Amino acid sequence: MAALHQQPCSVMLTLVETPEHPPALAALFKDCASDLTRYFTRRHGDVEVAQDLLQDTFLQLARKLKEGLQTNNARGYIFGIARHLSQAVWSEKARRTSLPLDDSANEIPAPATDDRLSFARETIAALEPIQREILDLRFTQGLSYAEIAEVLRIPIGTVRSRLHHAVAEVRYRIESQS
Amino acid sequence: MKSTTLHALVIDHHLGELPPEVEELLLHHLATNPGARAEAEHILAALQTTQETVIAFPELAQPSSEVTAPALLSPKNRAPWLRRVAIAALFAAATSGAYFAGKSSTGTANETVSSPPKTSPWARYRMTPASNGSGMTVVRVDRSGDENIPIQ
Repeated sequence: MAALHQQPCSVMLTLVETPEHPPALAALFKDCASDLTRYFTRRHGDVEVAQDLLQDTFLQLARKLKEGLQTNNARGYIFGIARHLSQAVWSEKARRTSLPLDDSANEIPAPATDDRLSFARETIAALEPIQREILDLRFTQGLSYAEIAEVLRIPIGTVRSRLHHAVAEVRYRIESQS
Repeated sequence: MKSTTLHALVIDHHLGELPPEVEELLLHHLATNPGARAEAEHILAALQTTQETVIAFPELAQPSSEVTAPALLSPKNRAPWLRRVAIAALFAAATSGAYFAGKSSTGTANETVSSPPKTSPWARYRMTPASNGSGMTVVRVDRSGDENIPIQ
């Protein structure tokens, strides 16, 4: 299993701009743009939407920097902005979407998988939304517990316990089926 | 080491979230305990499966996911509403029992009560009027055999 703690996005720890250091925003964009694009694409399935959200994320961040933002968790902070913008898109989409006559048009065919992943998928789908989001941020974006806590605005202990609980549920399901 | 503790430590260690001193303790425990090592393998297998599933199904990260079949959750998470109802019923039974016991009690703080049956997993409490008439006191009835135990 690949080492999950190796994060691809090496981000400056502070967003405080000083004359001696390059602009934090440009460095952050260079380091995080691909990660954020992947994050948005996974959530929305649309590259154009992902690009728009990426731009909006950094526009918001630039505004915050101008207002004097200081943080020691840059990656968590920027993913927090990204999540907030993504949730807004979903909310808007939910308001606009009308019920189709044929529900099968909205069904996403699941990829062919073994039973183990099928059982795990059902178990994870039954978890609380925030729990699923913790799993997604950890396993697809490689965020640390502290960064996930920053994104979701919850204590680090909650991130840890929810993730542990999710894995325990998956294990219970898999072992009870075998 | 408790299984829940080992579960948490193994996951945190694999995700690189353990402080170095705790990691050292965990590794020593695993090195000297074959049972714990076997358990750790099961934990890591579940962690691997969870990761693969999350990556394979992006829709799981959305606010609502469609589930084609009811998910089978562990026993402690089944029907949480049932647990709440049970707790409310126990509380009602305990308070009403304590009320009537207090009404019929002679009111001495040193009265003895019989201990609950050995088979009962629950600690027992009783409310008795205080001897000085200042109100009610809550005392725990110990579970240690059939002999009567004075309340302190």
